[in-house]
Amino acid sequence: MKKYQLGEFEEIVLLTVGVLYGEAYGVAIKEEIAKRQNRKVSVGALQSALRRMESKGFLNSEFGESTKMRGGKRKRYFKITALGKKALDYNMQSRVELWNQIPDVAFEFKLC
Amino acid sequence: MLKRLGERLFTFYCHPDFQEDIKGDLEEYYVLNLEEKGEKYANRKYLIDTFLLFRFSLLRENWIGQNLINYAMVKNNLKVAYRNMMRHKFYAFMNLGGLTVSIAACLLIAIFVKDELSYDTHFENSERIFRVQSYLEFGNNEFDLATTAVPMAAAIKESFPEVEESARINGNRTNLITVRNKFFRQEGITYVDNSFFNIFSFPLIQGNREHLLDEPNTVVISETTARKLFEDTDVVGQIIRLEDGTNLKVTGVMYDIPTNTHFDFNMAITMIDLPRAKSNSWTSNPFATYILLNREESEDAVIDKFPYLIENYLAKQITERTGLTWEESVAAGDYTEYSLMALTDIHLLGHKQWEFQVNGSVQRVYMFGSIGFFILLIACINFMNMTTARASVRAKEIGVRKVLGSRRKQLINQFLTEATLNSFIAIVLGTLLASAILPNFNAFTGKSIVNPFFGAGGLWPYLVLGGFLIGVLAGIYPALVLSAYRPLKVLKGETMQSKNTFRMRDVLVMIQFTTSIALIIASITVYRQLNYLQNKELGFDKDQLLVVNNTHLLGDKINVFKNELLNNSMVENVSVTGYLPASDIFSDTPMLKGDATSTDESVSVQYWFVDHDYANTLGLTVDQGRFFDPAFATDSMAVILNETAIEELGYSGNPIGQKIKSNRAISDDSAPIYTIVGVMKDFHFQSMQTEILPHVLFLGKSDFSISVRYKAGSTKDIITLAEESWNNLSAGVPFEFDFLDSMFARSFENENRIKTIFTIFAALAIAVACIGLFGLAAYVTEQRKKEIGIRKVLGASIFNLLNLLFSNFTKLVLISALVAIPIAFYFMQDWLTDFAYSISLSPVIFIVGSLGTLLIAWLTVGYQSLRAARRNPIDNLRYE
Repeated sequence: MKKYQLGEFEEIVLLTVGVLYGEAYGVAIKEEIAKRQNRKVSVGALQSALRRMESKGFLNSEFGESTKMRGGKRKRYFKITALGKKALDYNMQSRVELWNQIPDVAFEFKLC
Repeated sequence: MLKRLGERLFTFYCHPDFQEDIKGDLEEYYVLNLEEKGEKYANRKYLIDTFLLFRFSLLRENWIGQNLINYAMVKNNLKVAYRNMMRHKFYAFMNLGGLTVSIAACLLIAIFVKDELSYDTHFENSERIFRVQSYLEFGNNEFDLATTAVPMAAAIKESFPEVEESARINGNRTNLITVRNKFFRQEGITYVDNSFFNIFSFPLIQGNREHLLDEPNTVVISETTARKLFEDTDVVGQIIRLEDGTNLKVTGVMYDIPTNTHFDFNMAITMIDLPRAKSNSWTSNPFATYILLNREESEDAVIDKFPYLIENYLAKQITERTGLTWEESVAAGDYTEYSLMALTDIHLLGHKQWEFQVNGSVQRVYMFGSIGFFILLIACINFMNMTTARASVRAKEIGVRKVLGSRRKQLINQFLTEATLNSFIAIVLGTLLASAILPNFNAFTGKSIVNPFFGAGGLWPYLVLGGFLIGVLAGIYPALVLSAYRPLKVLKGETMQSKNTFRMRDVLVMIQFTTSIALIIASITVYRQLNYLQNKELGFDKDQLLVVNNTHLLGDKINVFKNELLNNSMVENVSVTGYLPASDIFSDTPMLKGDATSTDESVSVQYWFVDHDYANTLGLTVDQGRFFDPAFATDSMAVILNETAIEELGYSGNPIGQKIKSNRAISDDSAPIYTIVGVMKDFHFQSMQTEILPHVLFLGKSDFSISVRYKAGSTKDIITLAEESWNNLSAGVPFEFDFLDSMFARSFENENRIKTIFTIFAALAIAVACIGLFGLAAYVTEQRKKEIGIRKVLGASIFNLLNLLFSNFTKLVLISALVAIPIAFYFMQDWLTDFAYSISLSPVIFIVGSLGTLLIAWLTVGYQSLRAARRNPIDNLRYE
């Protein structure tokens, strides 16, 4: 299903947005990914993934408050949409399905 | 700066809907980075992030649409540019070669300039550190000192709330020191206040910054010194013994002082028990004093309050000593003024007496900066000229493109792309070239610059920017000219160059040659001036003079040593004195005529202590009277003056037998009065750049070194002889020697370096200009191939033909010379005024410079022209 296609990085970003429910804006997402996945994310990669998913309809966003630390600029909070949820479900399901299809023999490493 | 650049860039390309929050995010990262890793890192990271944010999904919408088309166009343009370069490899090679070499030269100059500007900026708070300086006048003497009075540091900190900390530093000597009974010659021994390390954040390897020099007899040494003395850096608590027997405890080891600072010490000894640091005299100014202000802006406040210091300290002391009030003493010609100099300015602007080292000069930075600029300009002009000159080759292409619907803008884009491609290739090659030359450049300039181009904090963002800039600068003119062609005319094969473009090309060639000629004249002048200084009559004989150092450590045996040397037939004369020319000694005192009753007419003289054999050993000429003679017991009260001193004191008539005395003699009857027994010819006892000052020789003990005048051709033997004799007497103190002529040559090292650098870059500028001329000549000759053929058939001689081809270039060079000569004259005249002794700018220099350039131009054009003129006309005229 092309409609629900998610890249690996996109999936992680989408999930992290879910984890940070209500607090998911650029800096927080980046830090969360760094913390949980132990993975350095460039601002460019993150932001482009967010906008891409927003235009696909997996995310929506609204402006939040501004702080002095941000030079008076507002934060943009992201939220998963129903479609985003579906995409996640679809992705997980397809993985699980594939996982279940693997014959037990494939994991028999003794002979190798 | 980088941050703002990044912000602009981002605003430029990012979709407006996304800008606010992403910028906010960036700001937040910036603040985080600023706290964690410092400003530099944060700024850089910000810029890099904005580069990385350049993503398709974040771009402005109209960009996305347009970009797709442009992408194809850019790709096509690049392809066409590449094919063009491949088809005309010779021109491509010349274009790129010239540009590459000049970019490499520019980059080297840029890092040189950057290094000059980076002096002393690496200290924490360097922008809040200032040096206190003093300017004195007494009589007709002026002293502009980098130093100030001993009690200044304490007084200024106590009196001014703006001053957070103050520290003094004094002395920079080379002495023999002992560590574990081994002798070492140690350079850069200095005394500093405990607070010195609170002001200057020299990073430490070992030791506690809070307690470095707060006990008597403690010392902080540099890493290299530690390795030299102890072969280890973990040496806190170890003992170093000075010449006078003082034992110093090492309390800290600091990293070696970087080369881009005006300090140059290796051992910093505490001032706590230094007697001269306890002096309360405001009238002598021996200590360099640094202050740390609470804010950078407090500088003016401190300057405004200096009169308070003068009133409360200096003026009071003067009144105590002389009975005069401050106003009276100012009226009598004794005047003192204090000033501040920012730490970061010292390297380029500090040219006072008693600087720690010979500082750089702003003038030199400007000079090199402008040479760099001109080299680049010449290379850009090459590019413009060759592109427009070769326009006929491209004319058909342009015509066809236009007929097929290219708009002018697109053609301009195409040519700009070509130029930018060229400049990028040249930048890459130039950077590699500069990196390859850098080690040699470092060795040559005496700097230790690490490759600044690559890596995280490298200069590469500027290089990328520079690539675009050079591309646009060099490409815009050809692009405008070429894109303006009328397709109809071009395709019909009519001449497409209006008279105007010809003239423009001539102007550009003239700019190149004006620059080249000016640079040639400048380098000839610099060369001749420095040669003149080095070969100027010194007034003494610097050759065949061996100097043995550290002789004061021989104690009483110094005379034994002297006699042993004299016993050898190779030795002509031996003199015991530490006062030698070219050794940077500066010891001045005011002196008066014997009958003077006030200090108004005091003359500041340099006073040296020498022995009886001094004049013979150094080869000084005594004009009137005699030199010191053992036969006269009264010579201890005798003096020898140089001609300048005689003149300044006003003893021109018959100076022998006249008296002189020090200022002290006015109020103190017991002060000695000296008799002039001889007048010596002026000799250059200081740097050749300074005027010969009044100079007075006294008979006295100064046993820091022995000078040995020996017979020519026995240099090797004399060293062996002196060393053997020394080793018998010295009890383990190592033998150290030098030659007066090499000491003298060393004092010119800096100037010689500048001379060579200047010559190299000037030659480079000319070479690049010639590459352009060569290309242009090749093209013009090619264009006139048929004409030459026809003329030859009709009977023109080779000379006629060469004349035809040369005359235009000759005219251009001559006009350039007319423009260049006044410019060069003005600047070189200005440069020469800095020297006390300078050559006059003779017309020969200008004529040689201009004719030399003309000759080079002829040679460049000549090869092509001669080949064309000698070719069989059939080859030129035959079609198909």
